[in-house]
Amino acid sequence: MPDILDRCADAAQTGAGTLPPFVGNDPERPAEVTASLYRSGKRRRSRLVVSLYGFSLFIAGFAAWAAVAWVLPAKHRYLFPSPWLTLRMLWESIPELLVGTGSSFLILAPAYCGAVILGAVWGLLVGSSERLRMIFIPFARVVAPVPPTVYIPYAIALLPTFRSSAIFIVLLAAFWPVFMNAAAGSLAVPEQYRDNAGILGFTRLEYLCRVAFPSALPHIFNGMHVGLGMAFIMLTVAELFGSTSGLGRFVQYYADYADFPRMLAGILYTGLITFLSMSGLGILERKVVFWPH
Amino acid sequence: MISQSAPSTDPAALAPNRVGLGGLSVEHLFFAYDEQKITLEDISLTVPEGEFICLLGSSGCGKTTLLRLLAGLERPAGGRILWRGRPVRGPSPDRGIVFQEYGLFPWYRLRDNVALAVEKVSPGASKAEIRERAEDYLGMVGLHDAAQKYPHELSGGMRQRGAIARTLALGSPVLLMDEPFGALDPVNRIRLQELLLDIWSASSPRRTVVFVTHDVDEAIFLGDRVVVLGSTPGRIIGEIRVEFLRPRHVEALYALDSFRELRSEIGAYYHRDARRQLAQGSVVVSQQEGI
Repeated sequence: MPDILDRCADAAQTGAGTLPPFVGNDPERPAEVTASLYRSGKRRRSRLVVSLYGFSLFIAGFAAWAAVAWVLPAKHRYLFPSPWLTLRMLWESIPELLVGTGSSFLILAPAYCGAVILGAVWGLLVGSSERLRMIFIPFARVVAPVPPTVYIPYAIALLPTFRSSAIFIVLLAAFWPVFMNAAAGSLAVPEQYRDNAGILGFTRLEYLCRVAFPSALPHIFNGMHVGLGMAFIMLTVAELFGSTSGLGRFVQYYADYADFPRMLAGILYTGLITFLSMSGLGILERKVVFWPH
Repeated sequence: MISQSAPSTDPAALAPNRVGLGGLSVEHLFFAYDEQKITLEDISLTVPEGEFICLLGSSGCGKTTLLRLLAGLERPAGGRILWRGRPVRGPSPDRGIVFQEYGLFPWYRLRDNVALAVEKVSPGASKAEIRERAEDYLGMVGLHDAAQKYPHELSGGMRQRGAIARTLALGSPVLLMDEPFGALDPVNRIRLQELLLDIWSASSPRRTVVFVTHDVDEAIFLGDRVVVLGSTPGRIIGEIRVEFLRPRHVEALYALDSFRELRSEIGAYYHRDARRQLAQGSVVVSQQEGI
């Protein structure tokens, strides 16, 4: 074993024992840091190029739309309005759309927050207890895949107001993905973290709050992304049925009057709102889950 | 039976063969993850309080499993484990453990990781007190300036120091260490070995340390006694007392003829076991250690 001699030589050269404390003097650090800077610089440049391609795709889509609307004979134009007309309608409808957004969010916000809280808490509890898992998971496997749209007529018949039935439907739609992911996340807590919790003498509540919850957060956010998508779908579908205002209602209303430029404006606007909500959730996720996982 | 609150006596005065009277004792321990393959076979071992013992074995011999059993993280299939005369029934702050990696929670700052242990030991202490005590423990391992950092902002060596600080804060009389320096480069490893010995010898009463390693030099440098484990099934194939005086110094120790003799004596157990395995055609290849 010649490495013993090397080690002695190393130790003698660096004067082991008389070195200053470790902070800022770690031999593994500098190389690591330089390497990661180099890598991230390269990655950033290629990411910029890719997002430029993505942006040009938007331009191309817009141009194709304009070209088709221009080529079409005049009698079809009411069904397929030009982008300019649609954008003008969008601009003119902004006050109405803002009111609609407000009324949609009065359904979406409480329903989605309720779904996230219930789904995360119940999911964590079920995922970390074998008994609850055995009771609840078979039930969830059967009930979760039922498309929530089929509940809409019954919910509207059963609950007193449109708002309460819409909140119920959206909550149900967003609950399952959050619950399933939270349960999977708390089931997948790495063994070392569980062992550490045992040695630190954590109670069950402490384990759930300090270990299972943070460790499952990346999973919970996955569920929240899927759940938000489901929530928007169910919100607009529910509004088609019985609402008097809201984003889905806006689209349905102008379609009924064959005002397709306004209807298209409503679709564009709804897409924008959905995109912004999803991006906001993504930003929140990066802020909350700051450690590598 | 010695009561739990009684201060332990000078470790030298405790005879190593007084089973059940203080210290950690393992009696005819068997363990298997599945019925086909026995992981540990008839392990009997006594560790008097205050002793530093090294469990030495090649990868896959079950040394980590033995440590997990000592911690109470696994249940034995047969035999029993006693700590101060009482059977080990589950994990407890009595027996702190330092893993090779991922010992700290990545979502807490270093200081808050240590504070989790301080909180357990002194319930009712104010937040400021807990914080201060946590920083004291970080100071003991030379990490005072890194208290505010998150684990992913630290190097591997610093993370291991943090994990040691947290176990110290827990005040465990028994320290179980599962190849804690296995992922470090040689220079860092020697410095952490010295730090561990400094902390161990400075405390009074001394902690009982069970240190798992596959590095012969590390085992001799640290231990009062080296227990060699053979593989398939895991069992004790040798026990060697290390008589070198403390404090030990790496350079001085490695230069001694008696150190080299001890190393080849322990190495002989190792090689005999490896040859026997080859003959049986059951060499365990570990992905982790790349052997």
